[in-house]
Amino acid sequence: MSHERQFDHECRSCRTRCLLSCLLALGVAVAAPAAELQVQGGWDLTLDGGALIWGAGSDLGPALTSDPAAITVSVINTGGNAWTVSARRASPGWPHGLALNCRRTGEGLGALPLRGGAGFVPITDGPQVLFAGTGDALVIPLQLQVAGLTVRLGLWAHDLSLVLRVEETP
Amino acid sequence: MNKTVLSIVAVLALACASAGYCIDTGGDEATVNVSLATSPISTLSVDNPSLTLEISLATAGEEPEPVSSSFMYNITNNEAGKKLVGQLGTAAPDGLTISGNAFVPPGSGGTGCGWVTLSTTPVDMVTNIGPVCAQNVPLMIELSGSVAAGVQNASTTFTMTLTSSQ
Repeated sequence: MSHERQFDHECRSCRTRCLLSCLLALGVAVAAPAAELQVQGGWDLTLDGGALIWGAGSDLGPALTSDPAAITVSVINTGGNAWTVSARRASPGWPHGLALNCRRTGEGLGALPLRGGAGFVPITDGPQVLFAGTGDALVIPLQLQVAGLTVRLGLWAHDLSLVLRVEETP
Repeated sequence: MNKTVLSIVAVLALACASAGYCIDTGGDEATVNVSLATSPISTLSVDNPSLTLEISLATAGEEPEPVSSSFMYNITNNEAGKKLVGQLGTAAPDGLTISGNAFVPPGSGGTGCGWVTLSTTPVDMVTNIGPVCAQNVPLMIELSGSVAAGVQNASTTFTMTLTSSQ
């Protein structure tokens, strides 16, 4: 009988701890919604002789750009807070002499106006801030550019991961 | 009673998690794939499509003096181990020799073969060409002959090709 009481007491105590833990976790979660990114698109570019400036004897155009909306970014669940979106390369072995740049080509829908990123921003191994805003913003168009192209680089192929990150700012 | 409360809390927690309102959503980063590549690029052009060579001078007691002229060629290539080969469309008339000398495109790392006798069989003119783009590279053509060739009037075509060394 006493064993049953002790077991029942332990169960209640355990349930109470679980309940408090869940409530605490839930309270913290609701108090601090985290902004999220939704990204669509990419860029697949293969250069051939058509990319030469004028034909035999000429080099590749020094820079090529993707479609103006090759990538679209949505920033959601911001809770009306301010945020910044940054980008970095996550792939080793990027060809020496080539530069990858990114710019924002529109405002998207929602939080207006966005700040920054209208000019090309170099994408490096470290995070580079692309643009900033406040509140949810949807379908922000991004354009990529690869610069430093030359036939002197020879034949090459590179698959790059471009990592975008949103961070809430004070 | 406690079971009911726990169930409600669990349902709430799951609902919040699925709605993305939890701290550790992992949704603050997203990855975009970018694939960049070059395909083989090998282009060649010549600035002047035709050339006339006429042997008309000779020193008494010697064979006629050869005559030569030059083209300029333009080349763009992004592969290693390429070469330029030259070839005539029809053989030179008896007693006449057509020779060619393609200069090495600057920066190509290539090796010039100097003056080579041209025929209907392809002959190497520059080898080991690497990635390069160069304009106005000289290409010399020479016509030589002996008096035994007599008087002739002939034409042929010369084709220079950028090709793989293998």
